[in-house]
Amino acid sequence: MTDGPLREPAFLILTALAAEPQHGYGVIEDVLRISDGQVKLHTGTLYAVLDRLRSDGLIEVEREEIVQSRLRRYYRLTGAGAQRLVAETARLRRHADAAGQRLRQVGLTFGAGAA
Amino acid sequence: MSAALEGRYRRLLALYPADYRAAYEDEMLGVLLAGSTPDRRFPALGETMSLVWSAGWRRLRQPRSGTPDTWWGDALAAVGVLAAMLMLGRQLRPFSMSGGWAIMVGHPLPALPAIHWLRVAFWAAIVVAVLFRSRRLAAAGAWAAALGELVSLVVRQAPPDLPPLALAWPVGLTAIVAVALSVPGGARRGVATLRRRGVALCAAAGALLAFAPLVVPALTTVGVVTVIQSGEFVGLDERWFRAEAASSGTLVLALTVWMAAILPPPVRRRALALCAPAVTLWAAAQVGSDRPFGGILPTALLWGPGHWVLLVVGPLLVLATSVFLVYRSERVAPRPTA
Repeated sequence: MTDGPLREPAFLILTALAAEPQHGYGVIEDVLRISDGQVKLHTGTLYAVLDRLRSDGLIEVEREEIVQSRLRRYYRLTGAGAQRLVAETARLRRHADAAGQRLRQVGLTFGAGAA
Repeated sequence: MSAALEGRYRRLLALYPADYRAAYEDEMLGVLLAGSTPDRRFPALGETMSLVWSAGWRRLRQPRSGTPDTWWGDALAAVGVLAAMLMLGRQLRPFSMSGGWAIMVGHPLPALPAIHWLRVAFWAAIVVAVLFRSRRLAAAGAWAAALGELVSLVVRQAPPDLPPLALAWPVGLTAIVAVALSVPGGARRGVATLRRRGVALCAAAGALLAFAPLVVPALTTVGVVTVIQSGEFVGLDERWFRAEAASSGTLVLALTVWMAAILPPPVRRRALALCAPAVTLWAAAQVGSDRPFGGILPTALLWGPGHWVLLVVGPLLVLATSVFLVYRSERVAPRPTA
């Protein structure tokens, strides 16, 4: 497992899987929702990240189903994955807090432009 | 959902290595089809790009060496080692050229512009990183060199008779070498694939390229080439320089083929396929030159549209053909397994 910051797709996929196990297409749709339509994962990217997260032990296969004669695999967060998401969320929150503080110091507020 | 769309997605998924396909192909196909509208007949551009990129990167990964899925990566890593040595050799050529003549006439060594020293320092460091099998340093150095060439291109004053694009090729060449050195496993993988003998052949090719310009001054010193008669400078037949450039190019090519010959056959085929566009580019540049194979004066190319097509389309066409031939030859003769 690597300890560097998670990239955005990996962070969003872990976030999508935090609430409940999901299959690949479910993850794509959930990530789109979480990111307010900003991040549309392509299938190649999704499975590259899922494969890496699996090999890092952050997610695992929960179950497999056959739906309309196609394999559907559900993924869920592992304990290590949950811990990693907590740590990453705390890291991002610290950065966001620091940015908010600096912006307030120069009289800028979120979403309002120059005060 | 059309069967044609499914077939097209399957063909794209076939780009992935076998082990990856075994793990994810059915699942990915389900996701791709679930994300497609009922009237769609062709894969979406974004999905296609994502699949091609992801599959290409996957194939370059190094789960274990010597398997069908790593042959392209092994070949690219080996070519990266060769390219780094050749780039160092190329940067050393101005030094041996000016140094050779200075020694011949008994003058002090001329001062070359700082950019030459910088290039030599960079590529020497990259070669050392390669020999120490440091992928990170070698790749970072090559990308920094590519960036440096780009900066040099932007800030330098181009000769009026050459369009700026004619000077852009070092940026492209350096970037290609940087890509080869950035392949997963990088220098370590390249050195492991080539083994000691292959690395020695790469070094020999680089050294040949670097020091071949010493030959003409040396021939002058021993009287084979005449530049001074009865105490007067009578000039130098430019054909000597062309002969040197053509001979060193041919010998570098021969050493490259020799280097490839010691690789395992599947990797060898791929290494040669990857080298073929570079050889084509070199040959195409000679075709358009008013002084084929160099010369003492800067080569002025005939930068017409036809030559641009030859320079750009030629190597790409050769690459596509080479890759096709590699796969075709392996379909005829089943690929050996590790």
